[in-house]
Amino acid sequence: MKKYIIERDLPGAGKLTKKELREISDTSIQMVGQLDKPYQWLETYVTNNKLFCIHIAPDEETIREHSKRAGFPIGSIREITTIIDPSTSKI
Amino acid sequence: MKLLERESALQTLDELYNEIKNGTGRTAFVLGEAGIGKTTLVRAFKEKVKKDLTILTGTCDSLISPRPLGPLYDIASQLSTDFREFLKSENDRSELYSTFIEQLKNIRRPVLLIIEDLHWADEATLDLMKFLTRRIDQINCLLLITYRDDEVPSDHPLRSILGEIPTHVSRKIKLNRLSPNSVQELSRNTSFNPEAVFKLTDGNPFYVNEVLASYSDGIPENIKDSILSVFYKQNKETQKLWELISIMPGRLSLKMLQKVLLHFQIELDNPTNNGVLRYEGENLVFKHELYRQAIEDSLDPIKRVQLNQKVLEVLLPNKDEIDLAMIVHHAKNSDNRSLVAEFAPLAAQNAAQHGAHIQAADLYKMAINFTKAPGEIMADLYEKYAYECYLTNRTKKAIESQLEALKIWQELGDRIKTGSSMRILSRLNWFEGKKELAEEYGLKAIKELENGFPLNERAKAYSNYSQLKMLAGEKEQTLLYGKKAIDLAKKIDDEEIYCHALNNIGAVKFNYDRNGGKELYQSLEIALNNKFHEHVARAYTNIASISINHRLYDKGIDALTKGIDYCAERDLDSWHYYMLSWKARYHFETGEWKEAESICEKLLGNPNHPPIVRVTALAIMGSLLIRKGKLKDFSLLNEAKEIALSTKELQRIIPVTLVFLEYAWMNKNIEIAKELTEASLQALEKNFVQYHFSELAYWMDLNKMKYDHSKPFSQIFEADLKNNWKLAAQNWSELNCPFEQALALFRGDEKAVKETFVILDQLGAKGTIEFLKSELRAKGHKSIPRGPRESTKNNPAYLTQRQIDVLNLLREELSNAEIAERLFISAKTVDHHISAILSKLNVHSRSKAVEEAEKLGVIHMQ
Repeated sequence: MKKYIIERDLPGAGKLTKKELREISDTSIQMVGQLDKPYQWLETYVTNNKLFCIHIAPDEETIREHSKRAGFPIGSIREITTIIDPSTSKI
Repeated sequence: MKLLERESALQTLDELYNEIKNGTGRTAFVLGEAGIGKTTLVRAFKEKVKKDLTILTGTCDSLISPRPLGPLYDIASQLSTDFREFLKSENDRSELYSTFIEQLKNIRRPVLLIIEDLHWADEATLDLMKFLTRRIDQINCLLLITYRDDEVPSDHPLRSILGEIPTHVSRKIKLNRLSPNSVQELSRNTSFNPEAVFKLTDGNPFYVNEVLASYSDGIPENIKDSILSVFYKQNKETQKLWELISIMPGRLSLKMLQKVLLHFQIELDNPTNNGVLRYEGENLVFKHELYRQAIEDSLDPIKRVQLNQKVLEVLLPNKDEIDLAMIVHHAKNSDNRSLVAEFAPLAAQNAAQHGAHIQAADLYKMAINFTKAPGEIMADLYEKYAYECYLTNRTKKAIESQLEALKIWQELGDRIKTGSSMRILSRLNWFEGKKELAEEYGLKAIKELENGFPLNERAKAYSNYSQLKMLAGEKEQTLLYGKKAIDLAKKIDDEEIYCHALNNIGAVKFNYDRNGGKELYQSLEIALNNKFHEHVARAYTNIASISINHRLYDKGIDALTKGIDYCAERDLDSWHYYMLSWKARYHFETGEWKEAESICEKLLGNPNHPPIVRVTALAIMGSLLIRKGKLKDFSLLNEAKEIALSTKELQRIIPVTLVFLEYAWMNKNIEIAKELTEASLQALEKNFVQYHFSELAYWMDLNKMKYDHSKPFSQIFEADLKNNWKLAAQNWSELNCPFEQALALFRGDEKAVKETFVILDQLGAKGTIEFLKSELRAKGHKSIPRGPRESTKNNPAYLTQRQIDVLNLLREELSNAEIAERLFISAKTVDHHISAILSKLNVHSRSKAVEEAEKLGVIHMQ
């Protein structure tokens, strides 16, 4: 399994209502259930004009399949190779 | 070739030539079978006038799918490079066509514009011809069009164009075969037997010429042999060249041709010296298309494929310089399936961009047949083919193809595409008259697309559903889904969807509220600003028709005048004619019956108009004939009834029902209107529209039929239905509806009844007058009014209140614009009122109108 970050264009994303955010989440979860492969949606960072989603999947193709079924547009998909944070430092 | 029996044709062309020398434009059609001598005639005429005219030529060719706007590209290369660039980049057709007209106007000398072989034209070229022929009198140009009339079947789009061309600015020149005498004259100095020549050729000039010019001893067994016998006599080099040129009906520039020839190792050594090939501009072509065809047909199939393959080897690396239609042609003729699959969609896209949708559809179909591609590409092709079919009125095929696409999208699990497909199927099924299926797909599309993500596909699905509900007259649902569409469109900043949704909401609100409709005007403004032509037309149409239904005539005629102008400029014909039918209703209801009748006659004279235009005109014509006492038989009314009932739409059924009720009233025969009345009541049950219900009740009341009193009447009919004749007459007078005013007055006192007959006499309603007189007699009245003399003192010309207002302002010597401002109407509407005033007062100027009106005492001197 690999970890991916998916970028989705969505003008006005920062203004999405709670109801809309819930609908998007519902759709995403339902579509994970429909895939016959292991799949995990970790979390999504919502900014003003874009969404950044962190998913775990066997490959990029499965990520695309999930988005297609959900009807979510894809801007780009990048595999996350490693994660660093303050604890990575030795200071 | 010697010109025989073409004197009258040349004379007609001379006459037209003289007319354009005087500055007016004309169109000439030269028609006849292949080989009849159309081009020869054109060439002879060209020789004669080339000193005085600028000559431009465009040719349609016999490619498998013609080049979109091919002739215009030919002509553009004879005009400026700027225009050629503009032609490539401009997607708005009306803009392109008007610019072309401007180009023609800018040429200093009169122009001879020749379009050859229009029977092969693509749809966009035919559109351009329609545009030009309709405006030819504005250009100092003789438009000379040739076509083979025997190769234009009755459903060919050229037919409908020919049917609509204004006859006073165009002439048709039909060329006939030569008589035996002429054939004899041509054969005189040859060894051929003239009778045998005539027998073989039937007097076709091209064949006569070929038989006589050849070469073989004696008469050949058939004409093709005669052509081929010349071919076989040539040396190998020339034969190679002819074969090559014969498989290329498209036009290649000399530069490109030289590249091809180099590839074939053919040298171009004085190719025209034996007269079989000739240069046309910079294109090397056969002296006649029949010649080309004869040689191409004689090729061995394998050789033909090889030649096409080899031509492609040159064309493909240069594909940016030549028309894609040409590549498709050679790809298909070389049996190269994958190349057709690659280029047909590109050529289709190009055709669609130029407005040649019939060709685009054909090319997409070809692509589908030749492609073995993975799902997504196939689904995309099916969708594009469906769209082009929809644009060219082949809705059934569009539905079939869209269903194929849907199946693939569903298999692929593509949610957005699946939802979009369903929305499109919803719309297509509505066009096909399948309302239930349309709504089913409409809802399914929304369900598929409601994933929380604010997609423009979902906004479209909402607006589509809102429109369906608007058309079905379901107010609440229209507003609910319209609002969803608007919210979403705003969020994603999509003006077109916003505009569409506003129109639906505006229409439904205005329909139920005489003071509503502000959203329609908002939608109109957005559409105008963004050049959404269809949405502009739809907004004008809805404003006009609903205004007239509410009897808001100033608003109605204002929208109609502007809308009709807008659509006429852009050849948006179906909207144009539909609005014309509403203009007829406007004239009819406001007592301008002459104008109403003349529009209806024109509309009914063309059987190609769609049922909704026809039924509107039929209903008005029916009423007019009944009121004038001139209805001879029932065929017109029966046709109206049949159409109205088949549409199952309230707004079509009601007007026809009213005509039947009027007839029933005058003939005391309720039976005849029963079926329609019941259909109307049923339709109102589903979709209650107050003004329709009220007018129906009004006529049922006159027929002493029972109707539901519990429902609210619109204010316009309330006074009538409550028997308050004075108020009713006053209301109708204010609304500017003389006929209803007269009927209201008929319920009044003796003086009022007299006024009834004055008004009806002014309208020319002899039938109604006779009926009402018989009613009076039956009631035992002794003094039946005879004529209008007594009561015409106040308003002898029968001007409407609005027209009197305008007259009063005319007396103050205000301009149209100033009058418009004072009366809160548009300058166009003022213009309309003034011409009505002039005609009613029978004068020719504004000042005379004021004078006359003062003399008659309609307006008072200060």
